[in-house]
Amino acid sequence: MKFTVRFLPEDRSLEAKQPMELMLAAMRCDIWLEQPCGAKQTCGKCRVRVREGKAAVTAADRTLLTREEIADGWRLGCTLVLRSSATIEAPETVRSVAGKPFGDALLFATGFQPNVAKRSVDWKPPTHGQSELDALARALGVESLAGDDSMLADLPARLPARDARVTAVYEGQELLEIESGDTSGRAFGVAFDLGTTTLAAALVNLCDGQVLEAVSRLNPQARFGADVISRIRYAQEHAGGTELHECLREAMGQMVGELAARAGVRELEIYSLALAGNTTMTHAALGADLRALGEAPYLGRWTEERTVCGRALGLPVHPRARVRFLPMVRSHVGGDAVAAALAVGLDRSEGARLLVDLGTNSELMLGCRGKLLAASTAAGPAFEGGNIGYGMRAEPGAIDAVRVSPGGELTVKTIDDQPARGLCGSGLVDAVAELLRAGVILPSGYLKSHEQMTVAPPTLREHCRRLRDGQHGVLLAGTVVLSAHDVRQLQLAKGAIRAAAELLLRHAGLAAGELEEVNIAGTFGNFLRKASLVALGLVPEIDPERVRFVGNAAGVGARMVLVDAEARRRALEIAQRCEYVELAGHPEYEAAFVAALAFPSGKR
Amino acid sequence: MTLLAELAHELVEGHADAVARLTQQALDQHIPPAEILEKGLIAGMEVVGARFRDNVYFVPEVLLAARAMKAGMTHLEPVLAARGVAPRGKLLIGTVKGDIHDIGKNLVGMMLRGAGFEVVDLGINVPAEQFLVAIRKHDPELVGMSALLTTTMAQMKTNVEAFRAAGVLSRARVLVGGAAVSEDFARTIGAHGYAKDATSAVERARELLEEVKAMREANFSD
Repeated sequence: MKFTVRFLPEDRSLEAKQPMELMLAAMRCDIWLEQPCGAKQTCGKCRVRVREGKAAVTAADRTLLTREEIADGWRLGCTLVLRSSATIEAPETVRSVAGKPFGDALLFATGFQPNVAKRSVDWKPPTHGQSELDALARALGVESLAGDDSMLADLPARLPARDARVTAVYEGQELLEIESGDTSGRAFGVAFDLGTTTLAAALVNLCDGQVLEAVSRLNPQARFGADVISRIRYAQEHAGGTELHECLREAMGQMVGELAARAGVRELEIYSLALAGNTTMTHAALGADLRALGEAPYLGRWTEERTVCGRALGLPVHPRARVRFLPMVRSHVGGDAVAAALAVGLDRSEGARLLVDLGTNSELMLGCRGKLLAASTAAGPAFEGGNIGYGMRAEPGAIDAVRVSPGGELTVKTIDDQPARGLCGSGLVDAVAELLRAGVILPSGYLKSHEQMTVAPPTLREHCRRLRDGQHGVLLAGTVVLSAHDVRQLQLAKGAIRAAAELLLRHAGLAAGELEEVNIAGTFGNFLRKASLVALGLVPEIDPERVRFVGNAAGVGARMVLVDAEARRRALEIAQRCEYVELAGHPEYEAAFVAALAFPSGKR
Repeated sequence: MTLLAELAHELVEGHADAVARLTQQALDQHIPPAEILEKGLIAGMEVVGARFRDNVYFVPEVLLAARAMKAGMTHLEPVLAARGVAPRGKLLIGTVKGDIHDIGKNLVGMMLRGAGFEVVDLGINVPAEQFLVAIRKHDPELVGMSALLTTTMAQMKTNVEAFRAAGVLSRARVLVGGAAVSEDFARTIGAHGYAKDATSAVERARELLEEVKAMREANFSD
C-alpha cells in the first residue's frame, strides 16, 4: 500500500511502499536530522512534529516529551517508523549542516611527485621480437610495464598499428590506460577525508597538484549511530550491517560525481584516489567486517595501506584507477590520524609535539625526534554538544564564544549572530574557562550557587540560577543555561584527553614541561580560543602561543599522499613506526584520569 | 561534635589519616564497632553519595573519601570479624566480556563498600563462566555488571540467561549499569535493577538486597 511522506518546511515528498524509518525518509529527501544520543532514546533532541497523519506514541515519547507536546504531534524522530501518509515538520534545532573546509592551510610544503603519471610519447609499433608492453615501457623510459587482465584485453584496441602520438597512464610499472594523441594535460585525482560525522573530498589536478573543487557532506552512516561504536553495534545486531558499507560508498560515488561535474572532468580522467579514514570508515568503505572493532582489544582486520581499483568500489572514476587507503596505526587510530601526522610533519618534529584530533573520536599522537606514539580516548561527545543540556553542533544560533569582563558582564557570541539556542563545543569550552577565571566554577569543577557568589559583581551573580532539577546553573543567553552537570561532562571529556596526553609523554620518557608545541586538528578546533583550552587543562601546561590549530589536517594529508610519492612513503613509515599505547586497562590510566579531572587553579 | 560525627565529617573531607586515627580512638573508647561503622563511616559515605548525586562532589572527591573509608576499615574490620558482625550484603561485580572500562565499576564498588556491603570485584572483560564460578563460590545476594559500550551490552543478556539456566537467580538479583545501559535495556534483558551512577547504585542495591533476603527466606522455609 503506497503512501506519501512530506517534509516541511522544504515541502519535499517521498513515496513509500512499505513502513519506513523517518530518518531514512528524510535522508532520501536530502534532509539531515540529528541523532545526538545515537537513537538510544535518551536525549530527546531529535523531536519532530507530525502535522498530518498518524504516528504511534512510544514509551520513550512519554518519557521525554510533555503531554501537550505529544498532543501537538511531537514525536521522537530517531525511532519513528512511518506506516501511512504523513506530513512531518523537522524544526531547525534537529537539523545538521555539513561543513568541513577541505585542505585549508597546507601546513608543510609538500613535494610534487604523483604516483600516477600521465605522459605522452611517440609510439612506434614494435618490430622484431619485442612485446608491445616492452616497447611502450622503453618509449616511456620505464624499466618494464605490466597490466591487469582488463588492461591487457584493451591493449590491442589502444595501441595504433602505425606510428602515432599516444599518452600512457601508469603508476610505477602498472599500466592503467593508453589514450590516443596527447592528453597528458588531463589527469585528475580525488583526495578523501572519511570522517565519522563529515565526509570531505577534493578534486585535484594531477598535473600541478592544485585543488579544483571541494565538497563535503554529512556521513550518511549517521542514521545508524552518531559515533563509530553505535554503528559497530548496528553491524553486530544486523549480521554485519552491509547497509553501513553501501550508504558510505554511495555517498562517496555521489561526491566524486559532483566534483567531476563541477570541474568539467570526465570519469575516465580520474586515475588516482587517496583516502584517509578512521579505522571504522576505512573498513566500511572496503566492505570489511566491523564487528571486532567494538570489543576489546578493538582490532581491525588489517592496518596496512590498501589499494584497490576504481571498478572494485563502483566509483565513477576510471575502472582501473588506483584507489588507495592510507595505512592505519592500530585499533581505532586509523588512516586519518596518519594523514594528520603527515600533514603537520609530526614525523620530522625535532622537539616534542602533541597532535590532538578533537572530533567525534579523539586520537592523540606524540612526535619527538623521530619517535611516534599514539593513543585513542573515549572522550565522549561533549565537544560536539552531546550530553550537554543545551549542547548542539556548531550551527547558526549556537553560542561559540563567551566572555566575562572584569566588571562581571557576561557576554556571548553566536554563530551567524542568530538568537542563542544552544551551546556548541567551543562555546562550552569558553564558558567554563571564563567562569573558572571569574571564580564561579572552582578548580574542582564545582559550580557555585547564587548565594555562594558573595564576592562576585552583582551583574555576574544575576546569571547564577538554580535549575528546575535543583542543580546550580549559569544563564548564558536567552534560555541557554550551563549546568553543574554540563561542567562535569566537560571534565570527563577533557580528563580523558589530558590523561592520554600525560601517558603518551610518560611513555616517551618526556617530562611535562618538555612539550614544545600542541597542534589541534578537527574543524571544531578552528574556533577554540587557545587560552581557554590551556586554562581548562585540556592539554598539558603550555604557553597558549605554542598551541596551533591545524584545521582538517587529515584532508591535507590525504591530498599530500595523492600528489607526492615521498609523502606516501612517509605515511607508510608513520603507520609502521608509530607505537600504539592502549589506554583501556592501562595500570596508570585511572590515576592519571582522576588527576586530570580538576581544572588548573591558575595561580601564576 | 560527637566523636562519630567528627569521624563522619573527616571521611566526607577525604582525610584518611584523621579517619584512621578517630576510628581507633572510637574503638579505644569501647564504642560498639557496628555503631562506629554505621554512624561514623557509612554515615559519612552517605553524605558523599548525596553530594556526588547533586554534582557537588565529583569522581576525585569520591575516591578520596573511599580511601579514607578504607583507612578506617583497616582498624575496624578485624574487630567486626572477631565479633561475628557480618556485612549487610555481598555484591559480586565485573565489567562484561569484551569491555575493559572499569572506572565506573570501581566507583560503584567503593560506594557499596561505603554502604557496608562486602564487594568482590572480578575485574574487566569477565565472561559468563567466570561470573558463574564466582557466584557459586561466594554466594552473593547481588551480582553487578558494567558495560560502557553499546557493542558489549549484549553480553549482559547472555550472562543473565546463563545465570537463569544455572539456577542461581533463586538466590541472587542482578543489577546493571554503565554509560550505554538504560532502565529499558535492563528490563528487556531480565536484569532486576539499573543504576545510572554510583549513588543510585547504593540505593538500588539496598532495595534489591531486601528482595533477595525475603526470597532466600521464603525458599528456606519451603
